[in-house]
Formats: sequence, structure tokens, C-alpha cells
Amino acid sequence: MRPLDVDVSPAPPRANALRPGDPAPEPQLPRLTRWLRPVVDAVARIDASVHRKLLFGFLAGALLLVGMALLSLVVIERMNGRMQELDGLREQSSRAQQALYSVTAQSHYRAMALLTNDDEWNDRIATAKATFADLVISLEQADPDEAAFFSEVREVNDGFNASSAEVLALYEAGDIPAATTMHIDEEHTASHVLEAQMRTLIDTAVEEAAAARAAFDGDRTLLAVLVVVFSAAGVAIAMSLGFALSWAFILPVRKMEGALAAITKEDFSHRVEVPNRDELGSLARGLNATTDRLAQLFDEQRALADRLTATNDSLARASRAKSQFLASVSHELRTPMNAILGFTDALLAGVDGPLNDEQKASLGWVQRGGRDLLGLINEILDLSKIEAGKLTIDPQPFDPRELVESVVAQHRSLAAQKGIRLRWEDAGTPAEVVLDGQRVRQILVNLLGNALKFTDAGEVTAVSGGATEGRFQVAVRDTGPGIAPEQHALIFEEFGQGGGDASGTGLGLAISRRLARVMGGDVTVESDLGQGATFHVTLPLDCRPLTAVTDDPTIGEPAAGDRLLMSVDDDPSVAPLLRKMLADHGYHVVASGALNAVADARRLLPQAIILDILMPERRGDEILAELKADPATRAIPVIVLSVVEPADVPSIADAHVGKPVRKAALLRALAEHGAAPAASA
Amino acid sequence: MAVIVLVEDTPANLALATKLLTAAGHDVATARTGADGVRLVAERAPDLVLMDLGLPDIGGREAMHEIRRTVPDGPRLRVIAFTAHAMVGDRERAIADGFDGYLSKPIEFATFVESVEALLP
Repeated sequence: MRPLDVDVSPAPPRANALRPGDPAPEPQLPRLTRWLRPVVDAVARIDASVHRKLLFGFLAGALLLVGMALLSLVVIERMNGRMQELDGLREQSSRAQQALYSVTAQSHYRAMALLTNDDEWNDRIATAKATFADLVISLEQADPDEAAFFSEVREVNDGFNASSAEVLALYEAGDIPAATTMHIDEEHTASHVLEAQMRTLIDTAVEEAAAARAAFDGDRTLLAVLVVVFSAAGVAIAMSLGFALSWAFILPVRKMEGALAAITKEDFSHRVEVPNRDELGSLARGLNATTDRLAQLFDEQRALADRLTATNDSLARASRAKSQFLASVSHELRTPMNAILGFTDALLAGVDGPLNDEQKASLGWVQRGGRDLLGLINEILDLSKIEAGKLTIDPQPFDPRELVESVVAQHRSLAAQKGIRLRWEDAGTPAEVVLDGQRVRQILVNLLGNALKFTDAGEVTAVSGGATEGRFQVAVRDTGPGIAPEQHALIFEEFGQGGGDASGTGLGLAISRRLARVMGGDVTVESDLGQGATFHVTLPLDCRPLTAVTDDPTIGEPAAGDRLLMSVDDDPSVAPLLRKMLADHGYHVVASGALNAVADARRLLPQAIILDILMPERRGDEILAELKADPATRAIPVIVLSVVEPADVPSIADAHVGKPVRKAALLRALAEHGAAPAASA
Repeated sequence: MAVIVLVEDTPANLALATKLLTAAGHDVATARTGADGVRLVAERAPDLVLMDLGLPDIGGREAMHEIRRTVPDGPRLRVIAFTAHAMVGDRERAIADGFDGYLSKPIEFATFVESVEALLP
């Protein structure tokens, strides 16, 4: 057994990532928008519900859109008006053109009539005059503002028509030269005036059309500018509103998130201070109140836990003191007992002269009583040593067959006296084991002694074996009265002897089981009333702990302050892997076998145990159950490292990490279960 | 028959050992302190000395060294450690300290005389 120089002192107070009092990391706006913080705070400070703020935001956006649409409609309507005006002006210009033509045509027709004497031309003149009159009416209707101008036109036209009538009269009288003179002097001159007036009308309409066209173009530009400006302004306003609104909500949420993260790390010192006067503000106040309450509860709970720990410590100290007291008392009791027995033996042997039969019988009673008492004292001493943790195991190689044979042989005379058949069956006993032979003998002597003591007839059989399963086991079977199942747990307790009527100390089974467990094995019973009893001793082939890995020179020694972790795995490569993986993180990993695991855990009290489930020698869940049932090892976190499905990991395990092992997952599991090193590298 | 000096402070052990060895025909001289033991050894020149380790005055180890140093034939005398410390390694430590052998208490009637005779030169 090689002593392992590691620190197994109690864990220092766990270090939180966030120590109480650390300022909470203040949530910030995105980098480029920090200057908007006053706006965001102002929005937060508005005394309105989140619902109203959001509603306002959406409504403002919608109103902006509606406003933009209305303005566009107005501008489009105006452009429409301009377009109609332009159409009217074009029509006016065209009518004036026609009117001009119908005046000019009359002069032409007159000349043709005077030259050809054909009446057809006079009819055409009449038609043109009617057309002109109609056109003047429609021109005036389209432009009623110019009534003065049109009355002038009508006047000139009347003069023109009068001269035309005179010319026609002369023509019909056949005086063509007089008619020609009349036409040239009066009719033609009047037509020139009319033509000039029509030209003025045309020119005015063209000018006005050009002006209307320019106004239309102006409106179009205005519309484009308006749309661009409004869109830009709308987008800017909507974005700022949206930004301010959302960050007024996001910032407090992030602050609360940070506070909650701190709370989960048991830091209750953070207060969430937010400017919000909405639901988020009241949420923050609620969170602060809850945090205070949690801190209070946490402190109370910690105080309780501390008191509990203190009570446990004092109980453990008291229990150790009791064990030490018992150990020293029983040691002191042994010396006089040995004297009593020694002198009794000497007297019985006739050292001081011959004794009569009566004297021999009396001394025989003294001798038996003394031996029983010495046996009891020795058992109390053993038990006290185990409980005080002072029992040392001295593993040496020996042949277990020889040991079983000699223990059986030692009991032959007692069996013969009681008429019981005592047999030994070798069912594949290992050829060599490395165990404390004296202690194994003590266990077997106790079990065989019990079997013979409680059996009145029949046989007692010791079956040794286990070589194929990689362990050493002995089953001691008797044909005695048997033990009721509800008594099975009791018989392994101190003074828990079944039945209560048989003689004996009631310590033997308690000691045997403890001795077996100290060597990494166990003693169990299988029995029922009337069925006899079978006691099974199961021991590892080698109870030297920490064999293979600690001697591997490629792996460094533990550094000062390293936390001790114990790996239990049937794969011999796991422990060196874990050790290399965790060496830089303040852990030192030692290996233990499935059969030694519980004994090693009890002896080394590692910071955590990394346990495989599927192991041929002994299943991990059995080891786990035993670790968690033992007050000495119950508090050690057990991290199951196995390929089994998470659902198949026993619920009493503290954590589960799948294989192949990932460093991050393992470190996280260790940290979560309080096995984090004081200063992690 | 051998001359044996027994140095032992517990009266019961002293009496029992004396009785058993005398009954076996040996000449037993007894002392209850280390100093008396050393004197007795010088006087009797015994074949064997049984020395308790837990003596009240100078202690068994010192008494043994005293014998080796002061008694004329001291270095060659057989001095045996006689102790109740039945611990692993006690035998080796006793030999390393300079004892010639080791005998553990309690005194077992069946084996005591045989064990002592096996230690005689």
C-alpha cells in the first residue's frame, strides 16, 4: 500500500464567478446608437403601460403613412386640374383657329363669286358666317371673363355682315364692279379686323397653355419632393420610435436577466434599477423584492445547513470519542482477563498440584466465562478500531484455499461434538489473493462459528470460489433454523443478533461485514425461516488500493492544493486520460477498481467520484447505492461517466457525463457539484 | 534448565510467567523495574532476559541498552522484547532497536513455555 500525499481537507467555500458586491455588467445600446440613450430613457420614463407605448408607436407610424397618402392625393388632384385647364386652352385655341379660317374663307369665297358669278359661293359664305357665329358663342362660353372682347368681335362681325349684305345686293342686281369695289373697300377691311381679333385669341390661348404647362411641371416636381421628404422623414421617425420603444423594453429585460443569472450563482446583492414607469418597472421592483426574500431564505437555509454540519461534526466527534473510549477501555480490560485465564489454565493443568473433579469443574466454568468475556472484549476492540478509523489492513499474498481449509479444520472438533457434518467445497477458488489474511480468517471463523452454533443437526458447508468472476468468495451454508427476511438487515448491526436466545456477543457479523467492506468486499445473507442460512463473503482478489495508475511514471505527481478525484472504471485507460485532462484544472485523479471503490472512497474521501456503470466485476449502480447509503461517503458527489442512456443513470447520481468524455462537460459537472478547485488554472 | 531473568511490572503477568517457567524446570529471577532488572542480570548472568517494554522507570529499551553497555557479557546476552503491542512491524522494530527476539503478550498457557524455550540459545 503506497501512501498518497494528497490534500483531502474539507472544501473551501465555493468561489462564485460573480462575487457578491461586484457591479452588475450594465447592459448597453449597440455601439453606434449610444447617443440615443437619453431618448430611450425618456421613453422608459413615460408613465404609461407597455401596451399603450407600443400602441402609440404603431399608431404614429400608421398616421405618418396616412398623412403621406393624403398629401399625395391633394397634389395629384391639383395636377389633374392643371391638365383639364390645359385641355380647355387647347380646345379654345383650336376654335379660334377655326374661326380665323371661317373669316379668311369668306374673303376667298367672295372673290370666287365675283369672278365666276356662281351662286354656289354665296351659299358657302352664308355657311361660313353661321359657323363663325357659332364658334364665337362657344369661344365666349369657354372664356366668359373676356365678354368685352367678344362684344367688340360681335360688333366688328355685325359691320362685316352688313357690308357683306350690301355686296350681295349689288351682286344680285348684276352690278359686279360696284360689288367688287364694295367688297374691297368695306367687306375685306372688316374681315381683316376680325382675323386680327382671332389671331389675338389664338395667341392668348397658346400663352396660357404654356403657363399651365409650366405650372403642371412645377406640381410634378413638388410631388416628387414631397414623396421623398415624407418617406425619409417617415422612415426616420418610425425607426427612432421603434428603436426607442424596443430598447426601452430590452434594456430592463437584459438587466433583469443579468440579475437572475447572478441569483442562480447565489449572488443576491444585485438590484435592478431601471427608469421604466411601466410594467417593466414594476417587474424590476418585484424582482428586487423577490431577490431580497430569496437572499433572506438562502441565508436562513445556509445558517441551518451550517448548524446541521456543526451538529454532524460534533456527532461524528462524539462517535469517534466513544469508539476511542471503548478501544482504550477494552484494551485495559484485556490485561486482567489474560491474567485470569492464564492462572486458570495453569491451575487446570495441575501446575500447582493435582485438583479434584469438583475443583476442575468449577475452574472450567471460570475458564469458559473468561474466554467468552475476552472474546467480547476483543470484538468491541475491533469494532471500535473500525469505527475510529484505526483499523489497518495489511494486504499480503496468500493461497486462500489453504486458509479456508485450515479454518474448516479448526472447527472439525466442534462440529463432531454437535454431530454436524462439516464440509468444504472448492468451486474454483483463486490460487492467490492479496488480502489481509488475518482479517479474512476472522471473518470465516465468525461465519463458521455462527453456522455451527445455530445448527443443531444436519450439515454446514463452506463453498469457496469466485476465480472466474475475478474475485474470492466463500458461501457458508447451514441447515439451522434460518433467518426471517425482515431480520436480515438487523443481524449485521451491533448487538443485533437474531432470535436473541442464543449465546454470543452479537458483534461478530457487524465486525465481519465491516472488515470485508474495509477490504472492498461485503458479507451478505440469504435465508428464510426454516430454510437454513447462507452467508456470502465476497472479496476482491487484491485489496491494495490505487494499483495500476499511481505507479505510471508518465503521469505527474499531484501538485499542492490539487483536489482529489477518484475514477472507478474497468477500462484502465480512463483514469490516465482523466488525469491528463484535468491536471491543469487543479485536480488529481486516482484510480480505483469496482471492488475496492467503496473502501477507497471511505479511506480517501475524494472531492468527487467519477463512476462507470457497466463494469464486469461489480456494477456501478450497486457501488453508487452503497456510497450513498454510507454516512461517511454519502456527501461525495458521484458523476456517472458511462455510455448508458441518461434514463438508465440512477437518479441518486449527482451528474451524468456521456462517453467519450468531453472535458467541458466534466468540468461543468464538477463545478456544479461543488468540486471546483479553489483556484482554477 | 536455564537461568531466565524476567523484567515485568504487571504483578499478575510476572507471577504467571514465573509459575509457568518454574513449573517447566527453569530458574527464574524477577525484577519489576528496569534498574533492578539491569542489576539482576549483572548478578545472575542469565541464559535469557525477557524485558517488558512498558516499564515504569527507564523503559525496556533503555534497560536493554544499559545491559549491553554495563554488564561484562552484555553484548552477547539474549535479551527478548516482551510486549503487549501486537502490532504489525513491532517485531522488526524491536530487532532494529537491538533486541535479540520478540515475544508478544498475553501469556497463553498452551504456548508460552514453548515460545520461551525456542528463544533460548
